[in-house]
Amino acid sequence: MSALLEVEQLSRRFGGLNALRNVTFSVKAGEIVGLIGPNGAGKTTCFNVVSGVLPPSDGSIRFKGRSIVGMKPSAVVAEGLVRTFQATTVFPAASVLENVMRGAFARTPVSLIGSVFNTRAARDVLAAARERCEGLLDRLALARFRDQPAGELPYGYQRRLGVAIALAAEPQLLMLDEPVAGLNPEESAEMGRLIETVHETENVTVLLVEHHMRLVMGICDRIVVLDHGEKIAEGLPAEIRADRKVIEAYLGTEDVT
Amino acid sequence: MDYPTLLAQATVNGLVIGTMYMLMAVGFTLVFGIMRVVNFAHGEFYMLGTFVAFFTYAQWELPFIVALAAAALCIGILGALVERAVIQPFRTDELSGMIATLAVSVIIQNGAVLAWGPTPRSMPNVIDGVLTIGPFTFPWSRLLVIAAAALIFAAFWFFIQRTRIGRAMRAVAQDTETALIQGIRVNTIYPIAFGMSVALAALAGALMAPIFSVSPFVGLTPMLKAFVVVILGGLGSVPGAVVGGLLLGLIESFTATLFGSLVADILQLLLVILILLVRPWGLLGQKEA
Amino acid sequence: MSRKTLGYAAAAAGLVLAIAVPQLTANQFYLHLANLALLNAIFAMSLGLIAAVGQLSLGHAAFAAIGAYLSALGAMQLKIPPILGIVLAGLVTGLLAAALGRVILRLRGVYFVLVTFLVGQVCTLVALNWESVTRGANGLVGIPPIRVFDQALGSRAYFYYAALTAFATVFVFIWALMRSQYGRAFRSIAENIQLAESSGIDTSRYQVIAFALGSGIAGAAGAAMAHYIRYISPDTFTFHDSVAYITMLVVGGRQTLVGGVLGAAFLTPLPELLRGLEGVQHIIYGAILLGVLLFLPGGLASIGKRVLRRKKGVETPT
Repeated sequence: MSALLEVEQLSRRFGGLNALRNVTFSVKAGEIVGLIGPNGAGKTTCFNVVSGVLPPSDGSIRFKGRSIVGMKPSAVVAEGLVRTFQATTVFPAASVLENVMRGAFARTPVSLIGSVFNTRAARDVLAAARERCEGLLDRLALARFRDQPAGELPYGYQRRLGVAIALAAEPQLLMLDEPVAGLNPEESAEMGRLIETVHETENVTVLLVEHHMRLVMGICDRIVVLDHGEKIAEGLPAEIRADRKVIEAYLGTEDVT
Repeated sequence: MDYPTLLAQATVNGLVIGTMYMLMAVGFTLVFGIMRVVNFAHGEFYMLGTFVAFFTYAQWELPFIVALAAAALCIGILGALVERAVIQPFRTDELSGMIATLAVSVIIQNGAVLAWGPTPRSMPNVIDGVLTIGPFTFPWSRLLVIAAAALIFAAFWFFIQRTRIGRAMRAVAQDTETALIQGIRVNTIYPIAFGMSVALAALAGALMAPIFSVSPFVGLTPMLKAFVVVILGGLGSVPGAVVGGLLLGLIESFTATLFGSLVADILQLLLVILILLVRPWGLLGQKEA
Repeated sequence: MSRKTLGYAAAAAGLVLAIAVPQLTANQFYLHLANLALLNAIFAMSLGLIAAVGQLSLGHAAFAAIGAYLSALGAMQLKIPPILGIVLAGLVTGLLAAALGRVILRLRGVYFVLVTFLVGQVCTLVALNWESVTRGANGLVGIPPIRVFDQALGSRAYFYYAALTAFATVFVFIWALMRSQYGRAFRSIAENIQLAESSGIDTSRYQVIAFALGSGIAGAAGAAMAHYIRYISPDTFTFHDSVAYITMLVVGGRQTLVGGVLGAAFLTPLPELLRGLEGVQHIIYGAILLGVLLFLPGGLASIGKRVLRRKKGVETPT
């Protein structure tokens, strides 16, 4: 199978600092890939550059064979690459259903003018989108919160809703930024199961930035390791666990277990 | 008048308005740095300072030093009270906090009109005569302003650098959360910082009262200039406000001598808008991480 | 009765009452106040449209001034009929705002407020300084009134109907816009701009749309004002007017369309009610703004909601 996302020789400098240096990796359709590394390794920068939030200093990013360098984040979403955020995952004042409807914005093929005049066609498209979103809430076990303001949900459910918002955009590649940061062990395990489930049911490829080793080792098909902005290893979870360079990079920061 | 004389005069005039801008901008930027509040009432505290000076010095004929102290003290306390009453409730909502300062400015300005009428008053110079050095003559009244402003700023700087409260203020400006963890009481620091900020504005007003006029409407221009300076120097940066203030005063004095002030004003504002767009953290400031 | 029918009923009742106003009173001064309130409501609603994307413009009066000068000059020098001039002024002001917005909407929060404040100052200075066109501080005198079917709307009652039509048009337009996908995009941006962008909403584009529409409407309303009072100067639309529009919006309620209308309806005649207290009017204005900010963050519009909720016996979630 050909690669869905190909990142080649990607670099990003901030002033004199090399946050990313010549990073190359790819994600194939259907995989769950983990992107790991100690604090300050460049994972988040990498995520921001790939999703279009930051422009790269150098290198290429191809999604489905086409370059997405220079596209706005919203245009990247329209291509089918959607990301989540670590901290700001929901629209707090809007209802849970409205949150997901907003996530589906790019996949709601309604003419904007039509929606202003509230034409029959526009109403039909929006009704269909709503139905699709309600289905998504059902599958992610969020349906019972449907009409509650998202900001009132328990933290764990807010993270889950963050994933639902991203999925509403019908991504082919879902990029998750530390989905279990700040969750307790139980919630983390549940999030792990959720990622595996949506990988199946929503037919989506996953790229995961994560600190939490057990989660990454448990669900990823392949792992890419960054340290000081460079790729130091890539392979199956078992290979990564045994890799000397990886162990050295993590030494004194976390265990690779 | 020959060229060197014109130049020397422009320099002194530039320094006079420059020190005024500096005092205005330092206070304005202090409040933004510590509390993230854009104080649209800052100019009104300058205006109140001119009135305090007018009454104490021109009306009651007290010594000018007393007028300065009275301006700093009265307006400083008023500022602390204003902070407690109307700024503090909006600690997490910077837009509402800013709208609240707009309301405060409306109330203060119109309160001044109500109390003292809209007609401008003038105030006698604190000191007469000129200093003659070779071919140059400088009015003592202007030199006094420069010297007094320098002293006031030195006192402020000493306070910020050397006292416990000053250090606490800097800690809060750098990182509110860490400061909270270290046990710094934000609820006492904020009113003090706000009070100091507007006391500086009042001092600027008191110093300028004999040079410009005294009326309820004199606050807008100094506030506008404080914005300009603070954008030049970076929102939240005290050294930026000092350098920016003096620089703006000198530039203005020279351009006004050469072109006339209205054109200079428009060019200045356009320049500042440009800077805000390209380097929102200021020409001299540092980018926030 | 459902909320929807209730809303429609209220709108219909309001409209009938509004149409009847000139029949109810012959007092020219009351009519004048009603006209100003209608125009102010348009200013506040259009400012609310910009606030819908989470941005606060302190230069709203500047766009009203631009529209006013454009239409006045067009009518005086090029003999453009005022009605056409008002529409054109709105369009040109909107386009100017779009061009400006593309640049300045990169800033958010207080930085955007500062830049719009400065833009407003620049406009005032230009109006003062560009004497060959704007006549400087003297202003433009003798601006022709609006004509419909060769009938000059010189009288306050006639202008009232024109203003009411304009008001209703703007109200329905913004209402429809906020109900549409545009409104969804605007609210997303206001609430969480990062997440909005990564939900596929082109945040810079929608911010420019909101800013251009809001400023364009203000331009048209400014033009209408110029043809109504038939005189404009750099003092007609100043920083203080921008603050007044913000006050109306905040006092009425930032979150809803009715908010701006309520704010304008409440605050425009207020100085007249307080006429006995010469000088205190503005202070009361400021105090009301502060009071609403502190004790009624949802504005006057939220009072009705609170009452409705209480009737239903539902606890008000805050």
